[in-house]
Amino acid sequence: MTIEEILFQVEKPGRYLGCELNSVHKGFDVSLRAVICYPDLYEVGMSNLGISIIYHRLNQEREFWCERAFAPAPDLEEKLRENGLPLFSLESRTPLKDFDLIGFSLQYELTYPQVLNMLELGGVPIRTEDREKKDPVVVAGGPCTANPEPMAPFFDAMLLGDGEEAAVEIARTVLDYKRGAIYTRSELHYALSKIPGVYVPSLYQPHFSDSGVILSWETKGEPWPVRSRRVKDLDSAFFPTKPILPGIETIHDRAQVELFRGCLRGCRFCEAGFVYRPRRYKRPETVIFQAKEILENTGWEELGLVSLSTCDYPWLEQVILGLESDLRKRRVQISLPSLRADSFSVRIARLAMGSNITLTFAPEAGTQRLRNIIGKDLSEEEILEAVRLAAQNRFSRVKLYFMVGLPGETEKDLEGIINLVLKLNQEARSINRKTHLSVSCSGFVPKPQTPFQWEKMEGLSELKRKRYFIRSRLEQRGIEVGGQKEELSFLEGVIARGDRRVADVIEAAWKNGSRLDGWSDHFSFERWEKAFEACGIDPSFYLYRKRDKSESLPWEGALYTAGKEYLFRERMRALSGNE
Amino acid sequence: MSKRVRIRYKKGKEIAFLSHLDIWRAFSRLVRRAEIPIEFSQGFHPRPMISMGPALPVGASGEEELLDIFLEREPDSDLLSRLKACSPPGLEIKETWFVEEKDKALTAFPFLSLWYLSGTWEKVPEEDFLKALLQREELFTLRSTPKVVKQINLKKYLRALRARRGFLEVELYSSPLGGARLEEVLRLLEEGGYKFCLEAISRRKLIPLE
Repeated sequence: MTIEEILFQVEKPGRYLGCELNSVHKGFDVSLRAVICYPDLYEVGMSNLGISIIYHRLNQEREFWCERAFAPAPDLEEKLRENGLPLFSLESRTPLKDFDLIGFSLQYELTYPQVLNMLELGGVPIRTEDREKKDPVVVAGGPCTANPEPMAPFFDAMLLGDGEEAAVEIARTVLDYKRGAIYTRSELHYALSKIPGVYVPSLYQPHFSDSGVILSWETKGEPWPVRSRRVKDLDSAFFPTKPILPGIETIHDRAQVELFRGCLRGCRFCEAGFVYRPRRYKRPETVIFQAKEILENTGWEELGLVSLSTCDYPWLEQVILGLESDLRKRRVQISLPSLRADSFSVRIARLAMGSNITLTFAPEAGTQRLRNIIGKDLSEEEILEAVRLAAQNRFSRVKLYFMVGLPGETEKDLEGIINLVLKLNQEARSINRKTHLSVSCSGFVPKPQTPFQWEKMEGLSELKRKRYFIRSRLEQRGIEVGGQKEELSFLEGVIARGDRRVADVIEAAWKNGSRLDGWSDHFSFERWEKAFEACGIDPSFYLYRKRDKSESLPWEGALYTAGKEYLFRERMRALSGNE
Repeated sequence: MSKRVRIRYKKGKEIAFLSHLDIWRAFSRLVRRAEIPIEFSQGFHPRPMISMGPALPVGASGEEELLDIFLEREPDSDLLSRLKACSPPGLEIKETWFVEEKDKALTAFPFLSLWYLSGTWEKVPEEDFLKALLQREELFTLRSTPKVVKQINLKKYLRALRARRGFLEVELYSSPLGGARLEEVLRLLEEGGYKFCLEAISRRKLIPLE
């Protein structure tokens, strides 16, 4: 069977098109062929700004051709395996094994088994140690490289931090290898490690004690720890203004312009807040220019102004007003993800989007005391005012995000969530009966590179009990409570906080059939439980143990702007109740 | 001066696997890129007024597809060239012309369509078999919708069949009230002992009937 014939038999074959508007097609005679992979479905991967940046940045170089590959849906995977066909790139339908360079974006821990699946299905040995001279060089980037170790055995190199320039430097080094200027795989690894921000797992070897903690790292004279890569100036940095217009609807089907990178809030639970430091703004003129270009080149009906905390962009009003006439002419709506729960955000949202949308706010914790601990700089009065304004402006839905299992949390804080939500609900309904509140409540994962990296995670059954407690009380009052399944938070925790030995679990889970675990209809906890058992790995070692400051953490080799001493001071301030 | 423009376009092989809705979306973005002064619908989510002709199934290309766009004012004279210049890969704008605003909508027409299916026959149907099939009084087959399975008669829809090694041509009549699906036609043939393994579908002609 050919791929064409297979496409007649799978759902949404529009996922596998490859000739979308602004996709890049070059000849096979380029010097280096790369493919950027996203370990999830097309509609998720095509919404990712990082993928778009790297794809178009590499294709800007005449001698490189970068294509795309996404996770096959289960029906396509089955057909490919049945017919002995390899996973292919979209643009030229080339098997992954025939590329010189393969790059993966790591955005979420539960997608890791899919990385192995795509490699294997593409004919590439999944472990670095099994790859030979002719095999592609496999690299990764994205926020999850904040702890590179759980995926260490599978990548020749991993990039910490920003990829705009590093991706090109990596590709050039791989080209040297392909041309024979670098002879062996280990020489290639050595050369890659010289690129700022590149972490080469094969050059660093952790040694474990009998109790399983890391005693020491044996490194081959490289820069270690590796400092994350930073683009200094976003105005002059590459940004794709002619991005691919997807053929089918994607989850964020809109033009995207980044306003700034990093965040000035310093919430102590937020990994992104620490790994994207320092905060770097794009000038408003640049934002306006790029937005217009993208809309002209794509025809999208919606423009997303993206960042970690959009209303913290100092020139937001200026940008919106500056774009207003153009957007009105083109009938384009603005979308503002990542709003804060304050009145300014509501005013801006009203200005930008009208009111027939959901506003999302994240108070994160139910009491001021706990919000102080986690560094969420937001008072109850501010939240109230924001919800009041949302109701006055006739927003139909307000979604509130909370976490349970935070460090220092007591039963009073859970009561606090309930009381706060009820108060907000009453306030909103007294102003506008059509404004509905909904709540999302998920288990907190103490993430690497944050002040809470030493903390233990709340137990699985406790997380369930806490969410159930909140849900039952709020649903009595007609308020819907959603959130991430606790088993997902549990796995996210083990993997995010794991060391190199967790790689075996990821591989075993993949072999047990884990594929698209981020999708609830594809998720199975059992496959993971079996994997832990088969590998003799106890998840509680990674989750339920407060780590000592002197302990060498698995992500010790990845150094971000904040640094360990700073994080530890922040932790002590948090736990002593200081803002 | 009418502000309703009919467009004849080709949905190429390379985008055959896009759905009817995907094509609508592609056009809504095409008119934005081309800065065509298109009319928008009223309401919370204003949408560009593009009304599609008869749907092509996912997997099919079409040589002469039709749709209407409604303009809010008279367009510049370079409408066609602008649309052509801004078309995405796989969509080719062939012709545009003005249609009276009071004229029937595309969805109200009966159509005659000529389908060309390429693929492989396990056994090529004989001429006599096809002739006899078309001359039957009734051509019943089952159609399942999400709720019910019902019997339908393809007799009035199936106009002509031509089969050779490597392809099958089907002429179908459809009206706003109904039509036959290609898979139903293929099932009739399969039931007669002629299984066709499909590789590509193309609607070569789409003729509105008065």
